[in-house]
Amino acid sequence: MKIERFIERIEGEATLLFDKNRDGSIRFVEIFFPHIRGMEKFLERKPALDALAIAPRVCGICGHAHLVSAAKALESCYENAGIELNISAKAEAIRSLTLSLEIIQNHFKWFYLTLLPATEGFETKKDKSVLTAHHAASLCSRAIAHLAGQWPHTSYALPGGVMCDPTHVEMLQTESLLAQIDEVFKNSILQLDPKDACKIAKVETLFEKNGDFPDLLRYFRKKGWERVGQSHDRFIVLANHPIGGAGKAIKTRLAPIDILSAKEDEAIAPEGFINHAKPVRYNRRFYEAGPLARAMVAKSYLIRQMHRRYKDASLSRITARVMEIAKLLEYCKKTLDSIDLSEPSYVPPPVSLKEIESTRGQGYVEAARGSLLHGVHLYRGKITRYCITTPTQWNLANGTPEYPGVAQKAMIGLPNEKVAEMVFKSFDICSVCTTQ
Amino acid sequence: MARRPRVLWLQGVTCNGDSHSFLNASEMPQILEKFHFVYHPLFETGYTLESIAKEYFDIDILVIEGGLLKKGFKRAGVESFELIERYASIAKQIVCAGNCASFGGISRKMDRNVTGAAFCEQEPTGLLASYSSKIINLPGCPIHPQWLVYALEMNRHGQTIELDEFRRPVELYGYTVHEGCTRNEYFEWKIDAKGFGVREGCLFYEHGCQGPFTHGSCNKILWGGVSSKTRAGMPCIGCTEPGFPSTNLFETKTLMSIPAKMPLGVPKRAYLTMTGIAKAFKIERLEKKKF
Amino acid sequence: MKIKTEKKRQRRVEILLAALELFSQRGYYVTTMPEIAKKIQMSVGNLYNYFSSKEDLAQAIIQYISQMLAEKIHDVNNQPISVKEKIRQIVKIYFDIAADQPQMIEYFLRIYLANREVFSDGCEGMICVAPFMTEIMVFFEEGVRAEDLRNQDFFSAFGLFMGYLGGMAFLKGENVLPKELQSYSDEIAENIYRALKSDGAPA
Repeated sequence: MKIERFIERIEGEATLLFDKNRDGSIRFVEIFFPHIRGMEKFLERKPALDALAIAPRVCGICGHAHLVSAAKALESCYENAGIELNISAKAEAIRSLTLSLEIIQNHFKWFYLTLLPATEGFETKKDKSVLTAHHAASLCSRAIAHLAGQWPHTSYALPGGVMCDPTHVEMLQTESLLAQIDEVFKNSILQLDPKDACKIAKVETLFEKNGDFPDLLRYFRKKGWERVGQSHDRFIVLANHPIGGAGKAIKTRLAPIDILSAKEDEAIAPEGFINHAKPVRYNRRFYEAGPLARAMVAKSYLIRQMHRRYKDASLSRITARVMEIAKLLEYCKKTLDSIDLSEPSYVPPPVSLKEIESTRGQGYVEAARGSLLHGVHLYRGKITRYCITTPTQWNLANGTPEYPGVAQKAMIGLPNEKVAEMVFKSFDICSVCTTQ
Repeated sequence: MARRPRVLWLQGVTCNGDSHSFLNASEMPQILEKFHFVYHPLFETGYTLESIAKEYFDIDILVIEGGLLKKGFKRAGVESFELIERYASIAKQIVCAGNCASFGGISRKMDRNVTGAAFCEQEPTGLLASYSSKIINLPGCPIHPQWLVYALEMNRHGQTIELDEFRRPVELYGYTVHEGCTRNEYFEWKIDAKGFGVREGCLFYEHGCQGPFTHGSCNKILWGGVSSKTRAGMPCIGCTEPGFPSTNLFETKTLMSIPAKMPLGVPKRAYLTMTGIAKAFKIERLEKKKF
Repeated sequence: MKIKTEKKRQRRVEILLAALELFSQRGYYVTTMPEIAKKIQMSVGNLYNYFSSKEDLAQAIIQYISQMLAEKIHDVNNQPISVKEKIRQIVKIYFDIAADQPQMIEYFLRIYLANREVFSDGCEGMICVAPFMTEIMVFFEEGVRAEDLRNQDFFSAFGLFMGYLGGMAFLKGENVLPKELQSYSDEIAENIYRALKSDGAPA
């Protein structure tokens, strides 16, 4: 029996087509994103720097990651043309800081606005959830605004550095906002200072704490859901990030990656369905991207322990994402402290991209939901080709019943669509990114 | 207590940026108290989009985010335009949140079939043009949260909003982004920033800043209450105007060294005379970088 | 009252023209205020009622010339004619002045450009020639906007145009031109147009 289910509030929507067994459990499922906007085509023939303004507009929640990817892709265009750029440590740190803040606001919103409402039977106060997400996100946005002018949709990073030139006052204001985000964390998701949260070494300790997240963990245990949502147990991280490096892991076995092995295929859909999500695979195999992948590749002690018990179940995925908030908050504070404001924010590239006959480049970052890759070809400073590969393309790629994609595999065998939807949402999906 | 105005937030072709920007409104606790959200794409309201599509809810304000596409974009089994049009006819007021809903925006640049509600770029030929009289445009990419709060509050208080030719509130868009920019003194004396990453210098002469001819209050009603793109060092890219985005956004287009676009309402001769005079003086205090 | 003001204005112009002649014939430094007063039969004291100093007078002259040229070019700019025709007319205006009132051009080249120190306080940069510069800028800007002229730096184009005309006027002043200045104007206008025109513009 086939059942269509419309999934909302995943930065847009998707349709899941369930093929169900007689007992109602999931035999197979396909994921469809029925619309595409055409960002990649639109970028063609544009002057290279326009990508800085256009690419962020792929996505309202992770636009900043798109900006940094675009800036890095253009920087790699210089590099591939044999021209060395000098990016100051200050500029790198500021970019990384604002990118981390974007990830933090995303994780709060995902937890309160997407995951909790999808967890059937879990008691939450609706308005309190909205306001917690709002509070954390607006503090993050304000902190980003101090450095980047605004959030969403700033274009303050460019080849050569960043456009801002903050003073010590703005740095202190950012620090003060980080302290306020700490408070929100402590008063809602996990009742601990992020610093102490980072020190938690035992999974059981997490279950014993207070806060909405430990409440959810206990609820999962009560429902016997600790192992739901297991997938291929393969992880990929394309970019270095604040918490660890690039690499891949099959279970806990780590290996380096070659970015060229990451390949995008054409989107497929059965008759009568439209799908615009192009699947991405590494060496023709599906890999999971995102916070769980980052924690696994970074050999996070806590998450590996979780993984030892529950493998790549939704619970591990959720824990990795929530604990990433604490880690990023600590990282932000440390980074803020390390910035030397006397360094230049921007060192102009020695030549304009217009002066380079032909070049190409790739820029990748770890965005909220996982690895984001921008590829660009330039001819005399104009874009001739632009290719964006988003994290959701890794996680939500459609495969076949014999060889399912990451989210497909996680949903196959689940008792019903309600649980399947929760597992689906544990991936933190971004529809608009997928259908850029 | 008076009945809370019922707000329905529907999306067309969008990146979700306006929804997220709105969620930054510092007044969110008050907004949730004073308005009843029937549906919002980010947070739970008690109704799903499927139920919105099935039934006919009575609403006061329809907020549209994203460009409109007549066919080929189904949501919850219904063409998204059909759904939006249905509620456009029910709503007492329609608020277009962002440039895509107002003028087609970047969504239209990618797909020429996309329009804004009342407008299709500069032309009053949007797919919902027949409802123009109740449409208020709040363009921006994204919308500034306080602009939307303004429109909602004016509605709640039964106030009429004075609009400009593009149905933008004069109180918000009667200014230019240039107004209140911390770089104004450098503009006055024609001193360019000469590069990015600096606090001093104007971004209009060489770096493409559109602040002097873009309608908006980004430098009066600050982003996050603390800053703006131009304050931080990024040129304004004109995101409140029909036709956004233009191209070559980080370079000022000049004709024989003269900016191709003049500050809003300033005749070319007046501009040339003024800048000719300003340029004649070397104001050391401004020419010399302090940092 | 009005009649008096008008008379005063006329008198002011007379002073300007007389001073202009003396300055361009004899040079700025050699010419004295009493000589200027004498030329228009005015007391030195009264002359100072009009201009507080010789510098003040020198600056007023350049503003006067600039204003006069600006008005003429303004008329050209406002005509619905091709860029090529505009160039022809601007060249004609310049050469007519150089032929009929050579002191105007002489003053610009030999006094204004050669004695910048006289103009450093009050005539900084292009201030005193702003009306003329504005019209020239409008001419160039509109030419580029109409895609008749090649887009380039303003001074690259300005130097080619005005430097050329100034150079011809200078040659004429030195009496080295075999023919009348105006007889070169068509060829010169053609040269200027060809040098500045955009690749797609008509020949």
